[in-house]
Amino acid sequence: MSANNNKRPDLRINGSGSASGGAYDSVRINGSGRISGDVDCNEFVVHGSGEASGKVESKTFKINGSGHVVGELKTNELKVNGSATFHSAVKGGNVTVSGSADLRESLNASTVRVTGSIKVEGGCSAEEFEAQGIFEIGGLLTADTVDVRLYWHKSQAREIGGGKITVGVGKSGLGVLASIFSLGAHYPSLEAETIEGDEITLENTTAKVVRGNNVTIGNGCDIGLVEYTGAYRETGGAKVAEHRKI
Amino acid sequence: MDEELISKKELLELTGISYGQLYRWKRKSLIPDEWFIRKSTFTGQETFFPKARVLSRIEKILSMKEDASLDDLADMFSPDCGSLSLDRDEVLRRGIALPDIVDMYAELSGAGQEFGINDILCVYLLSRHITSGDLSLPEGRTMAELLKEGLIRFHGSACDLILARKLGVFFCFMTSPPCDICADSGFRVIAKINIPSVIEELKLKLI
Repeated sequence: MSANNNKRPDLRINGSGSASGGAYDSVRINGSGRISGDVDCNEFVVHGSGEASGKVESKTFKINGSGHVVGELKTNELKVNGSATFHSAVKGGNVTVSGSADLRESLNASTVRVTGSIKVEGGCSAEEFEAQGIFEIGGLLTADTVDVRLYWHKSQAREIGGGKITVGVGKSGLGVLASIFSLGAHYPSLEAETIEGDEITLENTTAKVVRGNNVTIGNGCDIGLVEYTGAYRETGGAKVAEHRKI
Repeated sequence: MDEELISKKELLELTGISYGQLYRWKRKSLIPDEWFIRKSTFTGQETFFPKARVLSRIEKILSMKEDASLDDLADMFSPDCGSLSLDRDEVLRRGIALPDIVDMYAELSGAGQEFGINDILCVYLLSRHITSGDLSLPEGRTMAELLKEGLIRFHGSACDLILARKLGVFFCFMTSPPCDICADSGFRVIAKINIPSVIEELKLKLI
């Protein structure tokens, strides 16, 4: 980004409109807007619905409502309140999703916090990954700490790898209602092929292989093989076909 | 070109690193993604690595991480290092190349006194292979011209430089892996040079 930011114009779309890309200081869409071409800016905010057909590079990127980015997105701070779809790779510093985000490629960030749902078709890597709700990762989910509270129904990742991996079932404030839901298809669970980490604590998780240093397999788990080097713990409600110390 | 592979489990046992470290290094690209090779085994999918390369890389990381941050290490291992440049005296002082070869190269390329990373790479290889007797000076020139072209074409990505001779006639070419070569029997490979590992060697000299 150029150092001479004060020369950059702002882009405002109020109501409905479209504009072409370029270098801006601040880009704001209030209502519905479409930007064609690549955008390089300091701030990108959508209130309502916004679409960018090219690449976006912005210090901050915030969607309140719905958003759509076709090209790659590079930002230091990504906030989605509502829903957003990213067709290409996303590189973000701090990523917060309240609502839902659909990433058709990969996500690379320093922290990811999700309340609601996130879907990444490729890999997802971060220093910290924290989710309350549902996530679906087509490739590898890797982070130093993966802290997941499962809600509503099934989450999945092909592989999970990292330092400390904690998967638990979220406590619903709805009480009785939630227990009625949980009788049917609304059963919060996680499905993965392999989970590898230093400290692993799992609940309601189905995996073929879990490998780690200290491993705790909790209620509702169904694991094919656990390999551990340190300590191993298993609660009564867990199903583990085989576990061995290596 | 079949390399010996090592499974992730064996790798961790052998090196004593943890899953957390391995994944952290993967995220920082200290271990390139293409070294993570997924294969089906009877226990499901397993990840394997090219044994020799991954072991030497981990040894380097472990020996250096005391005094360098992971990001610095990542820069060092990345095949891309666009902004670096040295002047002629610095190239000589750091023992990258012999003065005659630096001057020959400067004349050939019109590089002047400032050497970018591609120039440094080129004089380094020239110096190495001319002193070892692999190449004559005119052959070195051919190689320098190819490198100049090739490094731009394969910009920042992995590639190999192959020096060969047939019936005494020298020629060279660059490939971008994975790439197998099948040549006739008169074809003698003098050297197969993996550019990213040369850049790594060079960076060790530069820091």
